[in-house]
Amino acid sequence: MRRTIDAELLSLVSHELRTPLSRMRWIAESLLDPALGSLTTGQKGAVDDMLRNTDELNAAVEILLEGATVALHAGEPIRTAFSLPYLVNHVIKEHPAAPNIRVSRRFAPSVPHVSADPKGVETAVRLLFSAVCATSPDEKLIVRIGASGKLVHCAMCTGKDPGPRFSTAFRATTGRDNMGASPILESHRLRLYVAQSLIHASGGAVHVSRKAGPVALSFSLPRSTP
Amino acid sequence: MPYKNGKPQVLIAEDDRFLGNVLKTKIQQEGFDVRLVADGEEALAQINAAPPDILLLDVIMPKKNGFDVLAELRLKKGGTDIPVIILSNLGQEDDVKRGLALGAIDFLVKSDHSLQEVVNKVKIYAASAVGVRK
Repeated sequence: MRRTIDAELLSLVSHELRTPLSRMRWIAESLLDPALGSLTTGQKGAVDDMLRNTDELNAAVEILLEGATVALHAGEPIRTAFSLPYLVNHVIKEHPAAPNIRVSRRFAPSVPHVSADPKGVETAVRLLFSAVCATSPDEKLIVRIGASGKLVHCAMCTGKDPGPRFSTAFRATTGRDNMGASPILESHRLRLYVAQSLIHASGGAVHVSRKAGPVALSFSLPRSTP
Repeated sequence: MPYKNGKPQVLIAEDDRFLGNVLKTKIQQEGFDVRLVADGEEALAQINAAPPDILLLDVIMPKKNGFDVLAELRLKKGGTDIPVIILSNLGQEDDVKRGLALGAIDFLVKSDHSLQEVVNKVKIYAASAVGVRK
């Protein structure tokens, strides 16, 4: 929660610092526009100087903001199960498909991390899986769980190899090299487990990026629980 | 003619009157027909009244912010056909990601772009939008 507030504050501060700079820059550029009339040599020099100093100040602000951003995200990733409400708020709600997804926010205390509208969870897991395995998020996800409750197989219904990134995640999660065959379970709890496994294997943060026509869609999961 | 009234229509949603007027003047000089509104609700009303060929959208605005405008626009029939360039002084990575995830074709930080660069972007995206409609 604190990190979220800090990030929002940083965003606001960056806006407030940049706003006067953009005004100064655009005023100076407007003055140099020949459509508004010509300037004397002295006037032009003064406006050029104003532009140059604006650029320098802008660069200084960028350095400050970059440093603050790095500080904000500093620290070890927390390897605990991620928070579903956080996932829903920061991933699902910002996805263009969000209007079609309804997510319940009532969580049974006895079932931590695993209670939500199945459609919302399924969409989240498909997006996460597609990002980690570089597959289409529209493909159907099949997951298999072993007797111990560990993930033993996860693949797309097309039978495609999920790719080396998933293999790495699989090994890190299960400690096994082979993805054996087990009965297929498709409950949303299981799919969420897959998402959790993938997130843990990625150090608590997953970056999702895919192309949708001319638009690049990308988002990150938080590194820690709020 | 690909454009209504023969000119490409640009809608600028910008609550900073000075920046909005400077931008409007500059884009008009390039042969565009430009409307300027100062808040998110007015932007949606203008889009409903006459969808523009391209929307330049600020984020921090009164009544309704740019992200909310974009989200509502995407729910409207034909809303995804309007190219939206976010033009904001928000520039943190999360803000940019959010804007692009909502369907903006570009996210320009005002203080990082000259007026001419913004106008060039408008020309490029307006031209490609016409190409899509053809």
